[in-house]
Amino acid sequence: MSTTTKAAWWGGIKSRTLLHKTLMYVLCILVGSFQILPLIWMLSGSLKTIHELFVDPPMWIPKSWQWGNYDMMWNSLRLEEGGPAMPRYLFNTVYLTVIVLVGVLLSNTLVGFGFARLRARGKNVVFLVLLITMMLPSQMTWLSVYIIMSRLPYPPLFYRISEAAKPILQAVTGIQFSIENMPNNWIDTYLPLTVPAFFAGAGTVFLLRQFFLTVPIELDEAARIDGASTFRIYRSIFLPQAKPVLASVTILTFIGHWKEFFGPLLYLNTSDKFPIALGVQYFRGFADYNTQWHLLMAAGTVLSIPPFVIFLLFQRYFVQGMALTGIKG
Amino acid sequence: MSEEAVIAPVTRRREAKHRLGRMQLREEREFYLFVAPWLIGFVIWTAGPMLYSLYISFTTWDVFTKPIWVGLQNYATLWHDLFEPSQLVLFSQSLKVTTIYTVLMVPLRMIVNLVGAMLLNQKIIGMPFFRAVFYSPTVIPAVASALVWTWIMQSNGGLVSLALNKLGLPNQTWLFRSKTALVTLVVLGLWGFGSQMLFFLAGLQSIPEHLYEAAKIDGAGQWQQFRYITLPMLSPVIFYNLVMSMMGTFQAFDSAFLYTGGGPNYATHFYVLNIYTFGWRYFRFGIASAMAWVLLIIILVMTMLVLRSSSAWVYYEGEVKGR
Repeated sequence: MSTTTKAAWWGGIKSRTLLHKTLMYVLCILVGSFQILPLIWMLSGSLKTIHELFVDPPMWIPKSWQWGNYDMMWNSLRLEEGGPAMPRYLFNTVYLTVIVLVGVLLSNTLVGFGFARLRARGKNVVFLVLLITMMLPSQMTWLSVYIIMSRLPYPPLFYRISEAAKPILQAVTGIQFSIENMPNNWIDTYLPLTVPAFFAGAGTVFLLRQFFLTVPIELDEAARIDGASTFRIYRSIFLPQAKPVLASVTILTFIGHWKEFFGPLLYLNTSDKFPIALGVQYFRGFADYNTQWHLLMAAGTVLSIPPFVIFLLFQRYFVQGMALTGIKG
Repeated sequence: MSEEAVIAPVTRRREAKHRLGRMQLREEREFYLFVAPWLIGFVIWTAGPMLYSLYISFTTWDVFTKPIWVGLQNYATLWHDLFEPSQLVLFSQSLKVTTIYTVLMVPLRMIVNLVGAMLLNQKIIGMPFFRAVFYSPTVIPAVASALVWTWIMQSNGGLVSLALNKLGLPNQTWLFRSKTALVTLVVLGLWGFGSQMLFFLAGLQSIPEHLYEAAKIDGAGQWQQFRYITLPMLSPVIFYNLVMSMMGTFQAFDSAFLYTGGGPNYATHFYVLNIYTFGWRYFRFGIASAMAWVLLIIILVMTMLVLRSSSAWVYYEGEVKGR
């Protein structure tokens, strides 16, 4: 009864929905500004002179764009052996991420396939344990894993390969790599950051299992009749089918590792080995830089652009992967 | 007990094994082969280290010398700290700070994400654009967002201080005063919608339209529709978000580490930051491991309580109630 009178009071259904829509747009723009303006402020700060940063009222567009800030930021921080640090940090991140990706994709697809398609006694128990590990706080194992890593001997073969690769990498990238002694253990090496990736993670396994369950069973039955082995079915049927999910996993892994500073903070001591996020944090810690806000904003912008662009380009995969694994952003 | 009853389970199992053909046995072997990376990883990176850390928590150990068995002494120290807080342990201080942070953060973050999801659920043009904008801060590395927010919160020349000066309000170093630091971290933590918003959005989109139509016919207003349809239908998502968010917030580390370093005067010294400090700064691995185990217990209890309460407020369609 009251709806009709109300609608009349509002001036008819049409103008009412128009009002509603306008209100929603205004709210969306307000909330959206709160999300995006700090990022624009960072970008704008990175292109100002240090004096312009302190101007009141604040200036959003710099008078002349100081692209030189990026040059300063990129080249002024030096490695212990000389040479600019930031390019090296970028290289470190790319290197770490590639190895981790290989490990993540390989191990998780194998395990996910096993859980989705193969029958065995004890499988339910194993799966339950997998689900429980998703709930365990990672701090439980920090200290003891750190101790284990500090007791593990470094494989001499890895050392020889990496030393042999250094001159080649130096020639290709132009980054300086110093000759190192053979490490005593895994601390201050990349092994603690890469090796665990080859042992599958509960969240990603769960995601892939859920996806593999949707692949029609007729496909593998047909392949079996044709005499395909289980591994062949995994490789030739399931992996190609899973391309969209693997894209999600790749994107989430890339962004996760680009952001990562905590693992490297625990395991790496030599600043030359830092990946970029920890490198920027390290840069910030120097008295020479910690008040140079224009340089810090440039560092922040460089750190933000790759994940931001990847997110915009591959939003669909990103959101899908996020929704399926429930990984916290 | 008859002999039959004792033998039966064994023979039955043997029969079962016998009944599995060669193919099934092969499949079983293959299953364990495929799952091996995770199984081995579970033993060496999770189960083993957990037992190891349980052992360490009963010792005092600086890693350089041999561990000394002290029994429950580390746990006793933590217990004692609850009643006589000490700067040397910081257990009760970090527990207090983390609890306040969790109590403020979990509901606020949930409300913010629900509002965000409800905005994005509107049928207006340009929604994909707004969704990208709402979500984008989440993909920005914490190190970078800490840089820009520290600059914005800067007392000398930061945006916030300029705005406060304009309004004639007192200006402060928000992050570096013990009274305001923790609340400031809460506010900064609300920037950026997370996966919570995506779950809420998916939940909202799965609520059947006819429920709202029926309610409108019965004369329900906007608020009543929200209160009696949206909220109950969303309650499974709210439940999931609540559990995940509680566990995540209680383990907060990044913001304290990046913005305040735990200060001023331990006002933002989060629990996990305390574990980190005791482990990697003071090399007191024994007590740090004990803190990690206490954390597990706290999180288990919290989760259990929410699980227990859930039957009272979480509505599952198709669930049989009663008894």
